[in-house]
Amino acid sequence: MQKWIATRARPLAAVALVVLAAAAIKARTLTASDHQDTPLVEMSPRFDVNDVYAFPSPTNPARTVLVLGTASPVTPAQTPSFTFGTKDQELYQIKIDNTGDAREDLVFQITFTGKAGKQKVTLRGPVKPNAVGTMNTLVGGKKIKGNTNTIITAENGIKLFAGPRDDPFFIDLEQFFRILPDRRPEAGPLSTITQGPLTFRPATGPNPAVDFLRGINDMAIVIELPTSMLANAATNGRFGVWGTTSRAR
Amino acid sequence: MMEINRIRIMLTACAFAITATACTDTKQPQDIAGPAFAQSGNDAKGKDADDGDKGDEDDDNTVYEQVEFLGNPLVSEVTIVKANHDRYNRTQPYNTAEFGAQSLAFINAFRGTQPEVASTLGAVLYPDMLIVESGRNPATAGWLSWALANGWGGRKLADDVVDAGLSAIFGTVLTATSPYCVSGQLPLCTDNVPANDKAFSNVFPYLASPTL
Repeated sequence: MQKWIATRARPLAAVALVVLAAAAIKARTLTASDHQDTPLVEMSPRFDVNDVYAFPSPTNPARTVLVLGTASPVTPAQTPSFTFGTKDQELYQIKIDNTGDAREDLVFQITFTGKAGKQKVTLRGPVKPNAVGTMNTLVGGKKIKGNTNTIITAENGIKLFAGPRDDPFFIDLEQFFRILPDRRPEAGPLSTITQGPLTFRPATGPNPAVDFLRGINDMAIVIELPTSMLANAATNGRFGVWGTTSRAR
Repeated sequence: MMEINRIRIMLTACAFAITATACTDTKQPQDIAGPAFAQSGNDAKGKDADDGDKGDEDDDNTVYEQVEFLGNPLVSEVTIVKANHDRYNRTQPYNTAEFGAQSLAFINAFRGTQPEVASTLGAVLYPDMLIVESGRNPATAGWLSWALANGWGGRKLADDVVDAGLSAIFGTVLTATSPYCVSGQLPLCTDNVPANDKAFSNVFPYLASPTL
């Protein structure tokens, strides 16, 4: 963790920015550690699913965009050498229930090979999974393959992008620690925050609310496809979406 | 004393909410997760097999075990006690019998006199998936709009799910009045960060470019 801060600090000229960035990293890391079962384990943020999104394409409402955000916080300094999962080790999935039983009927399976800066991504699906549940194998059939950090357009109308992006999430995390300093990190700048008023900050004024994730990246997988490839007439087009990460056994 | 306890519960809930929305969750020990996450980019010697097409084929026999799960934002992190987080991450949306009850109990801990809050949230958040009603008008897309506004649902990049979540739990989304705050207003029904720091794009892949 200290290494993260040192790495992050180097390219930044302004000391204030360094402090803020270090605080951001510290906060995110230690917030995560709030959920750890033991304090000793090193974390592997590649398995962290930050957010899942599903929305109509802004330019073509007949198409649906699915986003799986992972690994945040990735600092600018870390970003060029950051990787998705490694070959045969990690599996990223977006799962779809389109029959109303909350069990996946279609899956997208995303895997990666190669080293930082030149990783390749493979997308399988949407296709029926080999098995429903938490133990999965790669499905057969057509694959879409290409370089990360590149927009890949397949013949069947699917678009794929996998690469570092600005973390789309936004929150005033710093003020939260003022509201509840009990949750503050044990080290770093945020550790000195003391009890403040029991309120978030106003939008404007001398001490306004701040997006604590500004300038922080994630590793994003974005898929766009015709909604008809997901929707099922039997459920009037209703479907459910969730994301998972898995590791090789 | 009761007042203090109520505030404490409220703040604990906020803690969960904000922890949740910081997108963090139970992580996995690195030693069983394979190589270190931040691989060095130092492969200048060119020995890696990944440069060419060789080595790009996945092993189809590998069995993968789920270690993280996310459907709706906030659900597990806000309403499931952290001791159960790892188990929740290894579950699936249809496992509502175990976790749904925990979510309802959590919400009722501070909205117990207004049980419609917990019952409504339980019904829309479980099974824990982002619900899309793709037969409806795409212009009505937004988190939980399928349930609360007869909309397309899903979750858009710009959706302020922090405010939405705080306002649903503490505010007046589901009730005429609330002892805590009016939806979208201070002290605790908004964090006053209504949008991302970078604008989203209208073209694929929509997320803003990374800061480098």
